[in-house]
Amino acid sequence: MIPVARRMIWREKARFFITAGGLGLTTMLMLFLLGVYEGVKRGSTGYVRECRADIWACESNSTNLLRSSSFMPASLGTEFQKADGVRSAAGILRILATTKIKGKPVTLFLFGFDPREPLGKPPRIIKGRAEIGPGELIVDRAFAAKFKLIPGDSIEIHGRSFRIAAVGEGMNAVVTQFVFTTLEDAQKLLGFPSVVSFHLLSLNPGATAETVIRDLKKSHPTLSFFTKKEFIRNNLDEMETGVLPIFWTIALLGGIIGAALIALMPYGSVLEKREDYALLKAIGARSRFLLFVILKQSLIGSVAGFMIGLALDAVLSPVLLKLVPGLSVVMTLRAVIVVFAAVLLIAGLGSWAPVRKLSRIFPMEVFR
Amino acid sequence: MNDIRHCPMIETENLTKVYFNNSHPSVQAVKDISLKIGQGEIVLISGPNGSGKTTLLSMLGCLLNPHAGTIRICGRDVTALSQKELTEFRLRNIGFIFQNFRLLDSLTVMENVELPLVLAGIRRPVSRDRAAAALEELKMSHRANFYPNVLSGGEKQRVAIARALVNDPAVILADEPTGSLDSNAGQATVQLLREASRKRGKTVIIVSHDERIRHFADRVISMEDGRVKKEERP
Repeated sequence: MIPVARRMIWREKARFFITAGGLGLTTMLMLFLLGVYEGVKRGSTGYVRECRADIWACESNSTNLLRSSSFMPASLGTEFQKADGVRSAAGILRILATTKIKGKPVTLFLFGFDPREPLGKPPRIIKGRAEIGPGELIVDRAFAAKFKLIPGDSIEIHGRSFRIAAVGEGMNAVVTQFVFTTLEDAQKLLGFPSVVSFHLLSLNPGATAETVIRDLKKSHPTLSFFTKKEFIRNNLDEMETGVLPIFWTIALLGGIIGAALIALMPYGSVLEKREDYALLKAIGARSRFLLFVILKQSLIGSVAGFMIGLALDAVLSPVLLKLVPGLSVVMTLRAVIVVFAAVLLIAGLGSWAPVRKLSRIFPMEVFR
Repeated sequence: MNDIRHCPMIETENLTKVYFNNSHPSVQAVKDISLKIGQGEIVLISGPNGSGKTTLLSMLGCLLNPHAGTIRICGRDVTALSQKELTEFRLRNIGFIFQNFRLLDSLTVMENVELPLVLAGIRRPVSRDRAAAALEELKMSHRANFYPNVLSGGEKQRVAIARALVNDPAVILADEPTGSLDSNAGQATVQLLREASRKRGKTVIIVSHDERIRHFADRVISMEDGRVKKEERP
């Protein structure tokens, strides 16, 4: 087989590299967006995944950690603990606190937990100690980097000074980062000492969350109960409602730009090499052969663009993360596969205009 | 030659072609032409610009459908064929030679010659061997791995002739084959076409203004205003 498509591309190296480079930037954008999306997803659900609770109990109509309010008596924990199948229960309080850090106004997503309880502790601690006492905080790595904070630094919240005792990971929801303090301090900041937002329940071996929830709903019909899986899904849904359309819009625009870039290469080739295509038709090239010539050109450009994008993403993402510490980018194989599939789709879409143009070239034009 | 002409390779009857402009007939490029061209015959079609030579050649090459009339090539009515069938028919039965050679710059000389074989589904190494043999015959083997842009006009036309012959078609159609060549190269090109006709029995139809070709042709058809004005045997 004669590599007609490859030779046609190689004859116009500059055009090829401009196209592949442009698509590389589009690919990088898509990979980066998916990485940020995955980072947001993991960050916003990391706490729920790792706090060891099998069931989340909250006020009726409250469904997630991020954007719904829930307040209920802390004393309910004792009742939950007595329920069949429940091993332990612990309350956490989530409040929004406004403060100023190094002169900048900041809204904190503050979680109060009981350091003595095994449930409700923040995810991975990377610096400092997890066992905090009164007047102490655990902050996320991205939050610490954003405000250049280290263990030992102090933040004033509602007129009270808190000392950073530890820095953790998995608490960065990008739009905000979770900050942890003791339940008692959180209750003092709220002004209600016996209130919690959620009760976290862990189960005995052999007990199923669905059965325990069914029983708890009978005894507490005004409350909502969710399995860990449901609560993670609720948080994801909430986050996706706000963030996902923006991601997809940008990714879609990137895809359209990529398709336009890819289309330009074979389209330009068809325009400039009109007589060559007419010759191919004249000497007996079937439509399928010519279609493959165009598709191969798009595909070669797209795959080259994808490889460039992958390399750019690997090089530039760490740089960008240093510049914008609040960002959390998680690259997954799934994201790479999704973007590659998108690039293949772009190659297909990008072939449409040149194939259409090609269909309007008549073999007789070879005599021009 | 006379016995050859008893068996027509190409036969047209009342061939007519009209070009339309915004759905209205604007030019009747070919009017009611009936021809018989025998196997192995060399026919020169001459005439002033706009006389309908290239339109006639395009129809004989199955590149353009007539509005009226029929064309039979190798006994087959090609006006009844679909576009797909015409593509296949051209591939197997017609070789083309052009004034501007029309070699693909992105392919080597060898690949240009090999192309019709590849399109016909012939795989390597057979396609490569046949292309090499065609280049050898036209004394172009030493340029096989070169790209066309480094060849002279005469060399390019030799490669184009090799490409036209490689699939062993029954008919060779040449549009101004000497138009871009100096007199020596032009002479050599016409000689090669004559050899293709005499040695291999190819029917060669040449459209040209070049008066020197007249002496190589078995028959000269002069066209004017889309009609055959005169037919003569030089």
